[in-house]
Amino acid sequence: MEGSTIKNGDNNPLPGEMIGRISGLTKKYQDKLILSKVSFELPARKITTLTGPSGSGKTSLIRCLNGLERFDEGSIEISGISIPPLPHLIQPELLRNIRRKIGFIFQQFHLFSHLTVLKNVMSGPQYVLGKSLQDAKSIALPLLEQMGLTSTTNQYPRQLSGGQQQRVAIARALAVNPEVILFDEPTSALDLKNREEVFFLLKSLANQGKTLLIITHDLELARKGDQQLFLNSEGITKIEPS
Amino acid sequence: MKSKLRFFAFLRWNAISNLHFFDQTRLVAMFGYLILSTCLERGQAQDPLVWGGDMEGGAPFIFNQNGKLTGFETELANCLAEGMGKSARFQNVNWDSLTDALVRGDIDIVLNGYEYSEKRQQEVRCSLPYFVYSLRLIVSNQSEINGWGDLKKKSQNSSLVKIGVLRGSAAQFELEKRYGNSVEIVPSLSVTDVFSLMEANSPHVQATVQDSPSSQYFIRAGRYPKLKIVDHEIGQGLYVILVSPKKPELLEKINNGLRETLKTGKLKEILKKYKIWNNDQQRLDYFYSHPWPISMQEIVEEEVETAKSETVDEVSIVQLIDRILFAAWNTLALALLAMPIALLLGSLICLARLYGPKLAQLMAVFYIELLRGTPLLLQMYFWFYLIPNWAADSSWTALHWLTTLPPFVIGVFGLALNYAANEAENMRTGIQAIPSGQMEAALALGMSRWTGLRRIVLPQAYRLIIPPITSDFIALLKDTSVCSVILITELTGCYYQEKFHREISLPLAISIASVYLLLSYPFAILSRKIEKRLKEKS
Repeated sequence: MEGSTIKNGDNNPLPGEMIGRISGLTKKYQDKLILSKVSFELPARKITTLTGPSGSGKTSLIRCLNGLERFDEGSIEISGISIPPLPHLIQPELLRNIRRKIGFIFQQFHLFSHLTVLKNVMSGPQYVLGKSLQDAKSIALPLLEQMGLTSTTNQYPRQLSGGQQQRVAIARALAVNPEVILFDEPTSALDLKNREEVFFLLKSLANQGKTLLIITHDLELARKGDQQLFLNSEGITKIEPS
Repeated sequence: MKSKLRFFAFLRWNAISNLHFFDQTRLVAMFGYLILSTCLERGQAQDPLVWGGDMEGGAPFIFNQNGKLTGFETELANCLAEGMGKSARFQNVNWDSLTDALVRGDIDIVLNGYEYSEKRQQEVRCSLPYFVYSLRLIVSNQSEINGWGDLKKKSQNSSLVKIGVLRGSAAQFELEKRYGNSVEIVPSLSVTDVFSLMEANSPHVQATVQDSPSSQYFIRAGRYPKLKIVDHEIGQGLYVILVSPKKPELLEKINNGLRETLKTGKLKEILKKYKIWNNDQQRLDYFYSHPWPISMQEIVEEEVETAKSETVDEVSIVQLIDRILFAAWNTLALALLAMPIALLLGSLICLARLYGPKLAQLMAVFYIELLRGTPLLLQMYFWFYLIPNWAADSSWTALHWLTTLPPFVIGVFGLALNYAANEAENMRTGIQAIPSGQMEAALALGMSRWTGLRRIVLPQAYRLIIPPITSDFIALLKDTSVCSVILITELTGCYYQEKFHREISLPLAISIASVYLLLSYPFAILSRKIEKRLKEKS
C-alpha cells in the first residue's frame, strides 16, 4: 500500500491502480473521537463498500473525503489532490476542485426542490462547470435517458418515487463528470425491486470508469463490492470477498 | 386608593387561606367595586381645569424650562385656574386634534394660539381674545426675498418659492388666500423644525410665515441668528380660548377670568415677561368693552384683518379630489420605491448576519435591533432634520449635498432603511427554514457557497417569505404616513392639512381611509393567492 502511486483521474488510471489513499485519518467532535487513524486505499474503477455499526463514523468519513467536513490528523489524497488536516486552511478553489472530482449522493438525495428534474441535473454543468444553458441541457438529457427518467424531466422532485429521486441524484452527480462517487446508504430508502435496480446501476457506473465508495448497512449490497471494508471503533478492516 | 389597597390585601389573604371562598358572584361584585372606585377617582382627578395644548408648538407658547412647564399660555392657564379656585392640569394633544379632544370632553379648554373666527365660534365657543397676533415673513440673512412681493417671483430654476408654515395655522390660510398656487406652501408640525431647516440653508424651505409671538420670541430675540424678519406685518387676528359649547358656565368663568387679568394688568405682565407685548395688544381693550362674540363686520371696522378661515366658503370633498389623488400617488410611489430597496438591503444584511465574518454579523445584528427598536417617526426626524443640520454645520463640504436631498428621496430611503431591518429578519427566517441539505448538496456538487446561496437557497427562501413580504408591503403603504412630518403630502398628511374644514372632516377621513384600502387591497388579494399557490405546491 505504501509504495503504490495515487493516480490523477485525468490520467485515466488503469483497473487495479489506486485512485485514492486515506492515511491515519483521525477526527474528533469536541472531545469525542469519531474516527481514529483510519487508513485504506480506493482502487480505480472499482466498487468499494464500507459497512460498520451505527455511530462508527462511516458518514463522517465520506464527508471528510468530499471536504464537507474537516479532519484533525492524517491525510487524504484522491485523484491527485491532497486534502490537509486542520488547522490548515483549504483554499475555496481547491475545495471546489475536490468536489468536482468527487461526487456525493446523500442518503436523503437532497434534490433541489424548486427545480425540475431536468434543471436539477443541469445545475452542475451550469453553475459549476459554467456551461451555457444549451450545453447543460445536452449533458443532462442523455444522462436522464440513461437513468430511464426521460418522462420525468419537467417534474419536480416531490412528484417522484424514492427510486426515481435517487436516479436523479446520481444523474445530477454524473453531470459534472466526477471520477469518484461517494454513496451514503443508497438502498436504505428503497424496496427490494429498487435495490436490485440500484445495484445494476452502480455496476454500470463502475463499468463506465467511475470509482465508487458506498456506505451501506445492506450486507447484500456490501458483499457485491470489489473491495469490502468494515469500520468500527477499532479501525478499518478489509474483508476478503467470499 | 386606600380602598384599592384593601381590596388587593383582601384578595391575597383569601387566595392564601381559602381559595374556594371566591364564588363567581362575589368576584364579579368585587371587580365591579374596583372599576367603580377607579372611575370615582378619575372623576375626582378631572376636578382641576384641564387645558389642552401642543408642546410641539414650543416657545413662547408652552414649553419646558428646567423641567418645569412654562410659556405665556401656561402662565395664563395657571392664572385663570387660580381665579376659579382650581389647579391647572396640562394635557398635551396634537395641535390639529385639540378641538376634537375638546368636543370629546378630554379637556376643558383649548389654550394654544387658536385664532378667532365666526366659523370656529359656530363649532365650539370662543372666549374673549388674549392676544392680538399678526403674521411675519421670516427669511435667512442671505435670502434674496426681501418682502411679500418677492414671494411670487420664481427662483432661478423656475420653481415656486417654498414657504414653511405651521400645518393648519392662520399663516397657511392667509398664504393660500393671498398667493394661491403662485407659491409652494410647505406645512410642518413644528415652528423650530422650519427654522432649523432654514438655518441649514435647506432648499426645502426658503421662507416662513409665523405668528408674531413665534417671530418675536425666536427671531427678534436672536435665538436663530441666521434668520431675519422682513417687510411689514400682515393678517392680524385674535388668539382665543376654546370651550365646549356644552359648558356655557365655564365659558363665562373663563371670560371673567380674562377680564380680571386684563384689568389687573396680569396679562400685560405675562406678555411682557416673554417679550411679546406690543402696541397691538392695546386693541384688546376694545373687545373687552364690547359685547362678545363680536361680528366679523365689527372686527373689520376695528381694522383687524382676519384669516381666510373666517371668510372662506365651505369646502366640499369633490373640490379636494385632485389633492387626494396627488397624495395617493405620493403614498404609492413612496411604498413602491422603498420596498425594493428594503429587500435588497435586507438581503445583504441577512447574508452578513448569517454568513459574514464576526464583525459583519455583529454590525448586522446592531442595525436590525436599532432600526426595529426605534420608532420610524423618530428615524424620519433624524434623517430629515438632524442629519442635514449636522451636515450644514460640518466643515467637511463633501457632506453638504445631504442638505439638498429632496424630502421625497429622504422619505423613500428612511422607509427603506427601516423596512430593511424587517426584511433581513424575514429573509433569515426563510433561509433557516430551508433544509441544510440543500446547501450541502450544492457544495458537494462543487458550487461555491455564494452560488449555492444565490441559485439554490435564496430562490427557495424567497418563495417562503413572499407572504410576509406582501404583508410588510401593505404595512409600509400605511407607514408612509410618517412622511407627513418631513414635508411630504401623502394621504395622511393630506387629511391633516384639510381636516380644518370641519364640515368635511368625516367624509374626508372616510375618503382617505377608502383610498388606503383601495391601494392595499389588491396586494392583500395577491398575498392570499401566492400563499394558496405555495400551499398547493407544497
